[in-house]
Order: sequence, then C-alpha cells, then structure tokens
Amino acid sequence: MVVDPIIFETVDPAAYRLEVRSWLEENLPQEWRADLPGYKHQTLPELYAWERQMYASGYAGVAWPKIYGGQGMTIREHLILNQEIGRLAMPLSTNSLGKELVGPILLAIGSEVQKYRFIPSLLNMDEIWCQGFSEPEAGSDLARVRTRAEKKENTWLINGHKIWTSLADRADYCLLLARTGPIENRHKSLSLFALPMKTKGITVRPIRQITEAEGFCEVFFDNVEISHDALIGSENDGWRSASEVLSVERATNRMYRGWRFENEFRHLIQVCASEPTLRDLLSNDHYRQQLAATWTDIEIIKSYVLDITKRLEQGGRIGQDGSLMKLHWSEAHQRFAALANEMLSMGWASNSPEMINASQRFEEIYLLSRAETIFAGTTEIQLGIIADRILQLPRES
Amino acid sequence: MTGHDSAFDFNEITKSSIRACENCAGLSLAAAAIKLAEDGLLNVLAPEPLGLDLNRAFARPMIEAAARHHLSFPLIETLIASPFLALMDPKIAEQVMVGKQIITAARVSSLSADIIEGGIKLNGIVGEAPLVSEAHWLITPVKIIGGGTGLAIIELANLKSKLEPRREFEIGRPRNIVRLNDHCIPANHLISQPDIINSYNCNEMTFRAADLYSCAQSSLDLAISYISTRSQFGQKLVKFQALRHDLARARLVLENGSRLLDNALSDESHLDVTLAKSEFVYSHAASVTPAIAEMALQMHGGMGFTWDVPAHIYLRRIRAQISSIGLAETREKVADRAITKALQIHAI
Repeated sequence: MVVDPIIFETVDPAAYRLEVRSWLEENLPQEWRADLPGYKHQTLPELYAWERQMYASGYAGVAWPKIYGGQGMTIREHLILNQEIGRLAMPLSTNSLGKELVGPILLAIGSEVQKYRFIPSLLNMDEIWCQGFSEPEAGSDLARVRTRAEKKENTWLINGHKIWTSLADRADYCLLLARTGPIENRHKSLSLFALPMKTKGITVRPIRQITEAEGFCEVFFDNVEISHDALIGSENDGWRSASEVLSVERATNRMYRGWRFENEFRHLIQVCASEPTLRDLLSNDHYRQQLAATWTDIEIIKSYVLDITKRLEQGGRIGQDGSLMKLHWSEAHQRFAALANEMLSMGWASNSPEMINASQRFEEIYLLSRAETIFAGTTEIQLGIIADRILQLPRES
Repeated sequence: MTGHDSAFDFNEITKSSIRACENCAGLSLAAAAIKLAEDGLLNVLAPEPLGLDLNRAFARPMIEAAARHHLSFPLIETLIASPFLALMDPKIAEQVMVGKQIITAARVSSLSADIIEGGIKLNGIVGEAPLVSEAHWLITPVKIIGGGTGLAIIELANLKSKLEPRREFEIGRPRNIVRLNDHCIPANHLISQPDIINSYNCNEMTFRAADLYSCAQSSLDLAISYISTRSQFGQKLVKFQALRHDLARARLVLENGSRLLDNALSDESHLDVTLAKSEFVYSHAASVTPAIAEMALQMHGGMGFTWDVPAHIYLRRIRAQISSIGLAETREKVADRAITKALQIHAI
C-alpha cells in the first residue's frame, strides 16, 4: 500500500464504516449476493458498470493520492472498506490486477505521465489490465523468464510467450515482465512494461479452467513493437521494484478475505441450521471440532490484517508477513471449502432454494480455492520465503 | 493495563526472566522459589502492596523463559493464583510472593464444597496437580453445594490423606491425585464470585498456551540448529527442501499462535471476550504444539531418541500441560461460540 502520511487525510472510522455499509446495502443488487437464494451470475458489462459505480462513489483507490484519481484517504479507510466488502457475498473485481498490482507498482516506480495516464482509467474500468509474468518454462521461477524486450531506436521489440495470463482475452493493457539483458543475470535483467494488448503481433489463446470459467489465457508475442515510454521504472530493475511493491501488496491486497471467509462460514452454518437434514451436523462432535478450527483460522487471518494495518499506520514495515498470511489463508480456505462440501453433501435430498444455492456456491468456492495455493506465489514458494527470509535457514554448506 | 505498566520495559523483563530461569538450574524447589522471588518473577500480577499489579501480558516473557529453560518451579500456578490469593488470604499471599512458601494448582477436580458453620468442608478428588508433595498450598476448582463454582485453597501440610502418584510425563514435576474426605478449610479460603473465577480461567488457559508455544518454539530452534550443522548424503541437512518446508510450516503455525496469544493477552474490555479468546488460544496451542515438538524430535533422527538431546523434554512438557487441562471441554466451548456467533445476523 502506497501511503504518504503527509498528504493523506483521515475521517471518523465509525462514520466511514456506516457510510460504506449503507451504500453497499442500498446499491448492491440482492440477486448478486451469493449467500441468498435467487443469486444470479453477473455479465461482464454489469460488473464493469458496478465497479465504475463504486469508484464514482469513492470506493476504489481509497488510499491512493487524489491527484492520480484516488480518494486520498488512509490504510484505515482501506481496511474498513475491505471489511464491509468482505461481509457481503458480493462479486470479485474484474480488474483486480489493475487495482491490486498495476496501480501500486505505477505509484511506486511509474513516471508521472504513466500515473496520470493509467491510474484513473483503471479505477474507472475504462482500461482492464492483465499480468504477463509466468511463462511455460518459468512458472514459480521468474528468474528464468525468456520473453525478450529488445531496445531498438524508437521502440522495444517484444518476442516470447506468457501463460496463466488471467483476463488477457479482454485486457486493454498487460503488465509485462520481460528480459532486457543476459539471462545469466537472472532477476537483474528483467524490466516491466505497460504493453497495449491491441498491438500487432499479439495472439491470445484462452485456456479452459477447472471451474469452466473463461479468462485464463496464454499470450504469444511475435515481433511486437511498443514505444520506449512503455517501460515502467528503470531498465533491468523491474523484478526488484515489483518484488518490493509485491511484498507489501501481498499483505494489503484483498484485505477483505478474512471477512469474506467469515461470510462463507456464517452461510454454511445458517444453511445447516435451516435444513432439517443438516441440522444434526451442528451437534455432531466431529463437525463441531472442525467448525471450531475453521473459526480459529478466520480469527488468525483477521488478526494478521489488523496487525498489518496498525503497523502501516505507525510507519512500520510489513516484512514477510504477507507470505505468512497468504499461506495460512489459502490452506485454511481450502480446508473449509472441502468441509463445507462434505457437510452440504448430506443434504442431497433437499430441494429448498437455500440448499441449492449453498451447494452451488460452495462447489464454486471449492474449485476456485484449488487455485489459491497456486496463484500469487505457490504454497511451495511461500514456504521457501519463510525458510529463507524468516527462519533464515542457510542455503549453502 | 494498570497505571504502573508504562514504567516497565517489556524487553527488560524478557531478559531478566531468562536470567532468572537460568539461575535456577540445579537449585532445589525451595531455593528456586526464593531466587525467583528475589528476581521479581512471582509478584508481578498480585495487587499492591504485595505485588506490582501489572497487566497479565507481562507474565508472557516469564512463562516463555520458564518453558524454554524447563523450569520445574510451578511458575504458571503461582502467577494464576497470585491475584486471588491476595484477596483470599494476604498472609499466605505474602509468604508465596517472597518465595518462603510454594503454591501449586489443579485444573480439574471433582471436589464439592459444603459451606458449614465456621468453614468449608471439601469432599472429592483433586486432579493431577504438579509438585503437590513439595508445595505448601494447592488452589483448585470446586463445585459449591447449593449451586455455583469456586476456587479453594488447601493447606497441604494438613492433609490427612496420602498423595497418590500419577505418571510423570514431565521431568521434575511429579503429579499427584489428592482424595479429600470431609477436609475442612477456613471460610475465607473459598472464592466464588463468577468474574473472579472467569478471570482465573482466562489466565490459566492463556498462560498454559504461552508455555506450550514456547516449548514448541524451543523444539523448533533445536531442530534448526541440528539440521544446520548435521550432514547426510554429502550435504547439510538444511539444504533438503522437504526439511526446510517442514520447519517453515511450523514457523507459520507458531506465528498464528503468537497472534492468538497477543489477542488473548491484550483484550481486557469485556471478560466474556477475553474468556473466548483464552479458549481460542488454549485450544489452538494444545492442537498444534505436540506435532511441532514431535517433528523436531524426528528431525534429530536417532539422536532425537536419546536422553541427552532435550527435544523430549519439551515434548514431555507439552504433553503434560495438555493432559492437565480439559482440552475437549475447551474445544467444545470454542465450537459452541463459533456456531452461536455464526447464527447471529450481521455479526462481524
């Protein structure tokens, strides 16, 4: 989270919470709440319009500077907004990479022109972003990125192949990580670019996900030419800058997770309590123990978020807490998703709208949760970070 | 937080606690009591003028140091008893605070307390309390005939019944069962106000959790130290990713526990909230710490099964702590709170 305490203003937290809560209650369509019967999936234009409406009402870019289109508030308001978003089973952002990755990176290392050019448009959903980091031979190990950006007289010439590029089929821009020096330099010869996805030479091939959802792609760059001013930050410094930003963003992005998790937990319990065939599960010792463990997991996630907020407010550093939180959340959420499906499967004979809705919701959550230990640094990467940087285990003999 | 808290440096207390526990190595229980009292570890939670009346969070570094240095002295028991002992009998409290007498505590008992003219008559069994044979006093939960629960202090020198030894999972802290038959104690040695009982339970669960996490952290440190120096298959064990990841996972679990412990120790706004957080942290600590200590022992290979490698000492202490407190009952309370809360509309 990029926060400058000098120019940022804060408001009464209780009043702000009430304002956000009231706004969401009034404006979020009932049929978009995944924990209510009658839930309907949204179309892409509907989601774009919804996020645009949120931004127009002041509920995007909360802690970003006003001069770049943000709301100029603090991490405290960012947290409150996330808590209120998490409380409701509302749709996820369709421009999350823009808002969670591109915006913070531009604010940290982008040029003034880039900040003015890109930040308001991504907040207003006028430009959707994708992230071009992973490659077929460089999934978790980004030091092996081979997509090359060659500096020509007036342009950068891009050639290569990216994969697992969410939203590439609809994105206007790609945050591209490309090799600008010798591969032997590993992370030290990588640079970041704002690459227009409509440029000649780009081919996008969708990949079908286990959820059957669209939007997962691989992208081929064949002599793609982009202007020099597409470079973000310094040449060959892309990975260092991005990692620095990401170590903070890993902790401050999606702060709603703990509260959304709690919404899901509450939904499961309420469905079990209302369904005659499931009610006994709430008195079953085996399930009670697992529900207690889940609740403990949720409280832990929330405590990470609250602690991180407090430390940022006091000007402190986050360190590697983002890795601890991400690892705990992703695995705890997977355990819960499996538990929820197991419990709900015992209500197979029910055809109540509540039961049908819950079954669909938790099936989706279960499948989606399989990605949670893969994206944004796999479980193995997070364990490596904890071993290397928190425990500081020696690597060499 | 009391008015005195700001005058005390948490880091300084941590350092002095470690020193105090190191200095107790090899001392008898009686000598350790005097030493710990001189070093200021016994009276931090007791009200003035006997004690310092500090926030209970200050007990954490003391308990952690005691666990790390496998202190036999019943420090947790003294700390949880001290605020109430002063209310019940200031003279005994004074003797305990200066280390001249020792108090231990039982988590479970089937004791019934009958309020009679001139005192309280106790009948039943006191659960596995450590060091009963060497302590002067025992604090124990009781059920009061006529309704309610309480805490009673029993003078161990006056016991007519024989102490029954129980298994000694933990080294240096033998446990006993005490059977009481019409055993009389003074009326002021029973306390029954619900807030005080709840506060006692909060401290007990939270402090035992701190002990468990500290034992697990000490086990983890032992394992890290061992695999960082031991070579197998031509390289240091620490280079094997499987081992690195196991250690990292243990670190995550302990970080999670540390957060629950911070929460439990910091929230004193409503006793019910504090009680819920104490149940949380004890339940979590008791669930996760044995596996960490067992993993640490495993990482030592055959050395882990030797008496000289202290991995087993932490494991024993963890197992003993868990067996002396009603884990199933605590877990059930957490489950009950979780389900009740989830059924409340709009709860955050």
